[in-house]
Amino acid sequence: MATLLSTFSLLHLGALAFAAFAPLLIFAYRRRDKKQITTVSSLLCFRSLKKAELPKAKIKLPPRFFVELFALLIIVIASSLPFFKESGERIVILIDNSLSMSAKFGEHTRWEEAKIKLQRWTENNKQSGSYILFTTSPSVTQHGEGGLSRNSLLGELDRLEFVAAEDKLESAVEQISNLASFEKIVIVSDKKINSAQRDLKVEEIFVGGEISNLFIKSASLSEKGGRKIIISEIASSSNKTLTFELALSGSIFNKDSDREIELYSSQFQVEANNIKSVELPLPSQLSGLNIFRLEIKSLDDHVPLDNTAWLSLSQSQLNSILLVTDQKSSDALGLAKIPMMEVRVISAEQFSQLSAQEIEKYRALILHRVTLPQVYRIPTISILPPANDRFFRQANLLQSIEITSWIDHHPLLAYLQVPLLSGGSGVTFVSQPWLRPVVNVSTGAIVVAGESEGIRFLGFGVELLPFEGSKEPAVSILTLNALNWIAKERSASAIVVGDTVNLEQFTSAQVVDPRGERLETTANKTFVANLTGPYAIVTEEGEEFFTVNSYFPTESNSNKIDVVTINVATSRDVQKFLESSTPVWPFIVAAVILLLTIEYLLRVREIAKSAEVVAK
Amino acid sequence: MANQASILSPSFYRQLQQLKIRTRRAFLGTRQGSHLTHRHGHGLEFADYRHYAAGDDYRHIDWGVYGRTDKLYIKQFREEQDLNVSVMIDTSGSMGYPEGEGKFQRAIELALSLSYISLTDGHTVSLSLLGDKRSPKFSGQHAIGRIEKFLLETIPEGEIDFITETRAAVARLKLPGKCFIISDFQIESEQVSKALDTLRARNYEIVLLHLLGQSELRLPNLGESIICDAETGEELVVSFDKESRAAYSRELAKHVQQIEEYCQKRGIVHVLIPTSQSLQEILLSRLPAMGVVG
Repeated sequence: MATLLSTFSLLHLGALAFAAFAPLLIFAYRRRDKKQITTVSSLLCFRSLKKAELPKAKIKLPPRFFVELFALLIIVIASSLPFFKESGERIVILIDNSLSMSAKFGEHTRWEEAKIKLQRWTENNKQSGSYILFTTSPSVTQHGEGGLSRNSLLGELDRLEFVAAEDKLESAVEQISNLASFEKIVIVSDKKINSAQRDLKVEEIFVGGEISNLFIKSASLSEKGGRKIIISEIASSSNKTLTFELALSGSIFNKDSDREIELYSSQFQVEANNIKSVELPLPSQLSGLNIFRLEIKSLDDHVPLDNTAWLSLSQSQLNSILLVTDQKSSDALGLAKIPMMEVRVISAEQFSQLSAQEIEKYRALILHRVTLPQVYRIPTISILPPANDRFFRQANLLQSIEITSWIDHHPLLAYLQVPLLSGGSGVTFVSQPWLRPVVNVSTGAIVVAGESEGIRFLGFGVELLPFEGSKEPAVSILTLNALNWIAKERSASAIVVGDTVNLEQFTSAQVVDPRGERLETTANKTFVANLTGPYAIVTEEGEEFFTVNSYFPTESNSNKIDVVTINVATSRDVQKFLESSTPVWPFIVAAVILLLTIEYLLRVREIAKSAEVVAK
Repeated sequence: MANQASILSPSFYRQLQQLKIRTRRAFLGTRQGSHLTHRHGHGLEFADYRHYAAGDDYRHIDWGVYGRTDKLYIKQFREEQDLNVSVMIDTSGSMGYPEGEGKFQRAIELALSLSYISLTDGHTVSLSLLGDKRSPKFSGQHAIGRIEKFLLETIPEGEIDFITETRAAVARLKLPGKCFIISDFQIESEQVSKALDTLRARNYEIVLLHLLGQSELRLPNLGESIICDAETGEELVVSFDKESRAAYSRELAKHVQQIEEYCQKRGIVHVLIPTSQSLQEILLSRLPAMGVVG
């Protein structure tokens, strides 16, 4: 009982002032008693009776009065919004889901180990109140509702996966520490943070031993002294200086041959948690080699997935798309309908006759049911590649597509109801380090996406063409998203789903989301853009709009929008109380109803008693 | 035959037909009736002898007396005339309380019943609502409907001067007779005495039907309460404990006793009637036992 009372709290203490009405109730009862007069036929025989003054000092209050008083006090307490604070602490769980968590030691990857250790931690900390779950990559994201129970937390964890993105652990902790509604943060990561500088209660669950990861941060072709060189940055996430070998190989990708030639390897050292810039000269005689592969080899590297980069010699042509298809179509398989798209359609045979330089002048390359003979330095989309495609390697043929999972936050899937892609036939892809699964069926990925050396690649195991616009909305959206993603990098002013938008520059503004519903902003004039599409900002001066995940730059005409890099919604105290505490009002309403019922029964009893007296 | 009235049932009226208004004295009427007067005239009841005078009806000569005395004597008979029955009903506010006990309703029923008995017996009935109006004279059974209508038009309210009202009621009656006064007599006993004196002075044979409610006879426990006089509106704060209620009972008994004693000394019939008693019991049992009807 003492514990329960200690968690009892009132949200609006000022409402207790209504208790001042209690004396009025007493006054009303005294006045009511005074009015009871009995009429008799005559006072003739009463005059001899002992005269008595009705006691003024003593307040005669029937039991009914106390019932009414209690009901009044309960209503007063109810108006002050009482609640029981959750016992136990509110704990933030921040789990590192960056690529390094894919490192495997023994039986489990770090990610799996993280989940196991976190589950064990919750078992050992059962007195904890509620949890809020965040992941770090690709940006700080909250999962589930605020105030998760232990079971809900474990359920959310089951649904999480690591992503092929770098971790932002320090900035994640920084952002989360600005939230005022938790008592402790539990960080599950393969890295340690410097929590001493922060005024935070931090508990770290370290997963994996000391690991080292070397990855190719960037790689590009350049020239130096008349000779082509590869400039690459090799990054190390390790607490010690690492030695690694960087192997360069070259190949000529065409329909007939995929022979790869090892060129040479060089050994380097990189200091702890540092980046090493290296220059690798290409052979002076390329001998037709048109694609080069860099690969890190190191005994100290525990995450091999990010150890390879591909480079090719080419330039892209802005705003023009090269579509390679053997299907005859006068309107470029519908792609010509897309504004600002200039599509050149060639056959596979014509494509094979183009040089890399000619190909790489285009903004993007779309291969429709055609093999990619080699990797070009041009964003490339492959739609239903044939079985012999070496880059977009096919895994299985599908008679019928049943979507099972997808990466919710990938820009490729913006606007899209992914399950609508089910049906029809398709292919699955072999998972490659440069191509990550985005949309999966039970047997593999049917949409893969990757990036190497800043060049993006997309593989579709479903038919996207012809582009039919609103006739095939799901497929069309996917096509548009693909073109958007493949050809653009996120600019500083672009807004994506999950971003918190800041409207501080507007004196007063009302936000309307893409569904046409009005959104509430927080006291800081921010809101979270959870939907893709156009948002309107209505002010006294007029209306401005911006688009989340837009393809066309002209869809946004506002330059006042600023993005805040916090991906969690702010909340007011009342909202917190309603979501995370146990409200007491239902019990109070029930108690008041019960009391009024008792009061009514007592009143009926009193009336019956007086009638009985009169009848006698 | 009566019975156009709805307050009393036809069967009760049939029972009332067997009753007659009893008087101890003979009263003069205004027409032939069933009441024996002291007047000598047509009748069946022998009254006296007198010497035969020229012109007398010789059919009335008592030849038996002549044979014994050789003197001529005439038989005289008592004349039968109607009786004036006067019914006075108190319509002051006290007759409406205690609420729900039907005191005034009982008064109306008694008045109606006594009127019917009188009418059936060939008497003349006049009604006086003390504090309200007075009725014309009614005779014949068929008049009962008009009597009921007259009685039902009244509700008890306000304060009345009992002495003045009774005097006024009596003043319009020319000949004395039987007078029924139906009231709760919730006034000083001296006022009752003075009012009755007026009636006695006019030679009325008076019957007091003293109606009281059950909660007037046995005071309920109302705790400490404010009580209000139904007529004057005067308020009194009293305690209704056991002791006080006993004192009230004594006071009431004293008041009734005073009226009783006055009536006894002057040959007035006083009948204390609780409203809980049924009309049948009153008219068929109590009043006959007291010689009021029979």
